[in-house]
Parts: sequence; structure tokens; C-alpha cells
Amino acid sequence: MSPRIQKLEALRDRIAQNRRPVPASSALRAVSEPELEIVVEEPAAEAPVAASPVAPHEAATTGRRRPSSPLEIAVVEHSATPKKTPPAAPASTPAAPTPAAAAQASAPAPTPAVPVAAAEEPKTLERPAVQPAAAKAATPTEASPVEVEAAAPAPPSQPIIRVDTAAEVIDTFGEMLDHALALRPR
Amino acid sequence: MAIPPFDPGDFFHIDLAHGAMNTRGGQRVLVLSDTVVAPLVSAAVQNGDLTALRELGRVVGAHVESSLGGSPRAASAEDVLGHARAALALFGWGRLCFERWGEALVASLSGLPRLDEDHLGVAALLGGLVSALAEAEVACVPVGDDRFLVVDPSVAEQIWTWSREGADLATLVAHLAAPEAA
Repeated sequence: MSPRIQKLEALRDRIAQNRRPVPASSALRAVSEPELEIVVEEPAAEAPVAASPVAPHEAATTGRRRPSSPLEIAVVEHSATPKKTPPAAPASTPAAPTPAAAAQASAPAPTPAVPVAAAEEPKTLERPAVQPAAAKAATPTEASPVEVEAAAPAPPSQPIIRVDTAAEVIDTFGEMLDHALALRPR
Repeated sequence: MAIPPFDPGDFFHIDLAHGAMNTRGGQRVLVLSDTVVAPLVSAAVQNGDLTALRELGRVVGAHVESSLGGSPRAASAEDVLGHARAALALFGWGRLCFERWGEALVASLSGLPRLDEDHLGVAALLGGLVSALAEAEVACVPVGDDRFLVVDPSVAEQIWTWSREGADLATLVAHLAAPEAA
């Protein structure tokens, strides 16, 4: 049993002993949990307190419920920002706009919150929409490997070169290196 | 002038009388099991100092340059690959391959030894090798199981960060451009 429920039950027991009405506001302050709503209901008539409560196993098998105490406290969990339904305005007379509504009407529409972290993270990569296969067809010089690799078993020192005709012709190893070493992040 | 292929003959000379093993150039080498090298490399990775592996790559690169008979920069990519592949294979580091992805150069190494989780040891070795061939400082960044993006050291950290974030090779290449196009 959570401390919150224990506190509420202790409050309920104290109320039952003192037989004094407890305002709902004081119970809310005692709990001070915004996500909890405590409804204190006082019965119309003095309800008798059961002498012998029903054991839990009995309640599980017979379906009997423990009699409610004179003051019944119900704990209802709800969201942190409860929805408030505004009262419907009469159809014939349009409601005068409140100052807040007027300010909202004149002010520009609120822009959606943009994560600052995403805007300030240039190092985070986004995967390109074009897959390598598609990119190969669109831009032959990008994302299409030209393997300087022996395609078939060959004797040592005699690699078979597969050359992509769409690629730039490189004369020397130094030229190929210079191109590679000049690359920088966009 | 056509460059003759790499000659692996007599590359290593084992002197049983003196209990030594030397390369063709006279440099003494040791034969180590990968189960011995792996913890050494892992410790080097944890300490952030892979200078020894980078130096080994430079040693292999020196053999390649000697075999080519001239500057690797002036040789064709095919000749450099053939000689570098053979030299690297003689030291047991796998089968080297070059790939061009647009302007980017990728070194792949199939059959590479599993020394550390992120292949940073092999990346250091390849960095030393390609640096020797390029006659400039070069970084090889692991971008997959057996691929290494050859880049300028100034952008290596950025490439590594992107790769760690899950970017594949095609994505990495798409985010690189020459200075005039960047």
C-alpha cells in the first residue's frame, strides 16, 4: 500500500473517530498531490458501522463488500491538466470575448515548439532519403563504390580492376588520395 | 614504365643459428599469436595510444614503397594496391582492397584479425600504412566490420562520431564534400 493511500486511510479513520465534518479543502492540502482528486462525501444519514468487517478472502469468494465508513473518501487519479469544458454560450446572443480570448485572437498563431537540441546538433546525421541503389542511378559519382578489387581469384600482385565507367578517371594513387583527403563534412 | 608485381620470395629470412627472423630489408621481426597481440592492442586502445600499430603500418608501407621502386603517389592505384595487399598479407593482417565511393576512398580488409571490438588497432595500422604511401598524415576510420574510410586526420573524429551514431558508409560519404562544394 502506497504512503499516499495510507495517509488517506489515516485521515479517514481520524474523521470517523472525531465525527467532525472535514472540509474537502483541508484534505486536499493535507495530501498536496496535484494528480489526486479527493472527494469527501458525507452520507445523508448516520450509517451504522459494521461490527465485524469482511475478511479479504471472504470478500473474494462471496462478493460481500466491507461496509462503508461514515465518511467515504474516494481517490481518483486523473491527468495533471484536467479538461475543463467551457460553458456553452447561448445561441441567440454570442458571448462577448474574454480579454484572454481577445488577446489570443489578435496575437499570431502559436508556433509549434521546435526542439532546440535538434536545431543545435549539426553533428546528428539524417539518413538520406535516397537509398544507395537509387543514388547510383541519379548521381553516378556518389554512393556507388568503385572497387579496386580483384573480382576473381587472381595470382598475387595481379588484381583485376573493376572500373565504373561513370566514375572519374584517376591516373595515379596520389591523385586518388588527394581527392579523398580533401573531403570535409558538409 | 610497367611496375613488376610484388615479389614475396625471400621476404622473410629465418636464421635458426641465431634464433632470429628478419625481413628482406634486414629488419628483425617477431612472430606473435593473435591471442597474444589482441590483449596488447586492447590495452593500447584503452590507453588511447596506438602509436606502435601505426608504426607497424609505416613499416609495411616502407616495404611497399621499396617494392614499387618509387613514390607510391606517382604509381597507379592498381599497382599500389597489388603491392600493399601482398605486403600486408605477408604480415598476416588480412586481404586489402580499395573502394572508391564518389570522391571518398575506402580501405577494406577481409580476414582481418579480431584484436579489439571497434577495430581501432587495425585502423591505426592502416593509417600508418596509407600515411607512408601518401607521404602525408592520413587517418583510417572504422565504418563497419571490415571497412575503413580514408580521411584527413582533422575530420576523423567527426567521422568516427557519425559512425558510432549508426551512420552507414553511404550516409557518411553523402555528408562529405570537397571544399568548393561544401
